[in-house]
Amino acid sequence: MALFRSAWRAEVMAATLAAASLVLLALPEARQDAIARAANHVVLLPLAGARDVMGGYLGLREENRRLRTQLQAARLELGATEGLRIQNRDLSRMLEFREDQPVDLVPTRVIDRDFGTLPTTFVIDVGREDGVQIDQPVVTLEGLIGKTVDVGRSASEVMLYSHPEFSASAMLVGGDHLEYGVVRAAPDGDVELYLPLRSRSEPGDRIVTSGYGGTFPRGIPIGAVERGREDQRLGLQKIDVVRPVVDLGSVGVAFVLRRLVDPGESVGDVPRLYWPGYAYPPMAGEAFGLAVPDSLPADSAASDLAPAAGP
Amino acid sequence: MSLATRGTPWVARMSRRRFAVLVLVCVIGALLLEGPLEIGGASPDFILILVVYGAIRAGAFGGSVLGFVGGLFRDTLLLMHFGLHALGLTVIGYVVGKLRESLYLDAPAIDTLLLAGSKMVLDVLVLGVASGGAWKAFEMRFFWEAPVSALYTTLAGALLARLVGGR
Repeated sequence: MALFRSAWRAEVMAATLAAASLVLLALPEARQDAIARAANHVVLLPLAGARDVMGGYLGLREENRRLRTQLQAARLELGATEGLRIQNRDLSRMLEFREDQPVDLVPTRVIDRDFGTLPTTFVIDVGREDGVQIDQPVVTLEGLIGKTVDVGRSASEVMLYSHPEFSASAMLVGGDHLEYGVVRAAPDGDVELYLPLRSRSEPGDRIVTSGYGGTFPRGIPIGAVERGREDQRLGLQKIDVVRPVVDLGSVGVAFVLRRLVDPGESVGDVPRLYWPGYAYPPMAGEAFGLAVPDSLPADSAASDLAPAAGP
Repeated sequence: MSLATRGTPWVARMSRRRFAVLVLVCVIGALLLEGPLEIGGASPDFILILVVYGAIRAGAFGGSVLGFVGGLFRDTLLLMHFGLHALGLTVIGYVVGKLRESLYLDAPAIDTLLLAGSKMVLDVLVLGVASGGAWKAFEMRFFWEAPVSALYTTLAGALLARLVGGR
C-alpha cells in the first residue's frame, strides 16, 4: 500500500496493468477466445440489449429488416432476370431463324417431358388451335427432334427420335454420293441408320431427312455417322450408329413445321430450312448443288466445305 | 512559470455530470456509431477519445486504469488478440496522463495533437500485431486507414469537446 501512496504509484499501476495485458495477450488463442466470449456475454449482454433497444428506437432495426427484404427480393429478381436473359437469347435466335425461312413454322416451348435416361417424348404448348396436326415434324435450330403423335386443343405430344417406335426416311450425304435409308432408335438408346447392304458410308458423313414418306421434308439435319455397326440382320442391311445433332436434354424451345401439302403426299424438298441456297444438302467439295450462291449465309454448312470443285 | 500555473485542463474543470455524459456518449459511440460512421475502413475511435480525455482529467494513474478498462472493453467487442487494446490504451492513458501532469497546456491544439498522436500509436501497435508479419497488409492499412482514422478520431473528439465539454 505504501507503494501506491508513493510518487511512483502511477508508474507501478501502469506497469502492472501493462503486464496484465501482456499476460492476457500471451494466453493460448482458445483461452483468449473463451475469456473474451465470457466477458462479452457477462459484461456486454446488458449493453447489447440496450444497443438493440436504441437501435430499434433509432429505426436501425427496421431499416435493417427492410434492407434484408430488399436484398432477398433483389436476389430473386436477379435469378429471374438471368433466366429471362437466356430465354430471350433462345427466342431471339428462333425468331431470326423463323423469319429467314420460306416455310410455315410454329414456335413452341417444351412444357413437359419424360425423365428417363434419354427422353423419348415431349409435350409442347401448341395444338389444334395453332394449326398443328398429327405427324408434323418438330425441329430446333440445329435439326430434327421428332414428330407430333397426339394433338390436343392447345398442347401436343412429340415422339422424339430416341423413341423405340420412331423412324424417319433419311439420306446420307457422303463425300461424292448420296445413300438412302431409314433412321430408327435402337433398344440400347443409340440412333441407327439402316442402309442397303452395298451402301458406302464414312464416319462424319451427314445424315438428313430424305423427304420421302410424307412426314419430313427433305434436308432437315438428323446427325452424322459415328461408326459402323456389325450387320445384325443376317447380312441384309448395313447399319451405322448416328451421332444426333440435337441434344434432347437441352431442348427448351422448338418449331413445328406446318404441312404445306396434303397428308399422304410427299413433302419432297419444299422447305430447304437448313441449307439455304442449295437444292439439296451439299456434299463435301460440292458446288453444283448451289442454286443461289450470293445468298449463302456466312455460318451455313457450306462455309466448312472445300473450295468449289466442279462436277 | 511553474507547471501548475499552466492552467487546469478544461476536461478537469468539467462537472462530474458532464464528464459522465462524455463517458456515456463515448461508450454509445463505440457500440453503435463506429460501424455506421466508417468511411473506407476508417472510423472514429470513441474509446480512445474517452481514454485520452479521461487521462487528461485524471492524470497518469487514472489514465492507465481507464486505458486498461477501455482497452478490455474494446478487446471484448473485437474478440481477437484479447489484451492488445488493453496494453496499448494502458500505455497511452499513462503517457497522456503523465504529459498532462508535467507539460500540459490548456489549448485545443494540444488536445488535437494528443488524440491524433495516440490514435497513430495505437494503430501501429494493433495493425502490426494483427498483420501477423504480413507487412504488405500492414503498410496498406497503416498508410491509408491509420491517418484517416486519426483525423476522423480527432474531429470526433473535438466535436465532443465542443458539444459535451462546452469547450
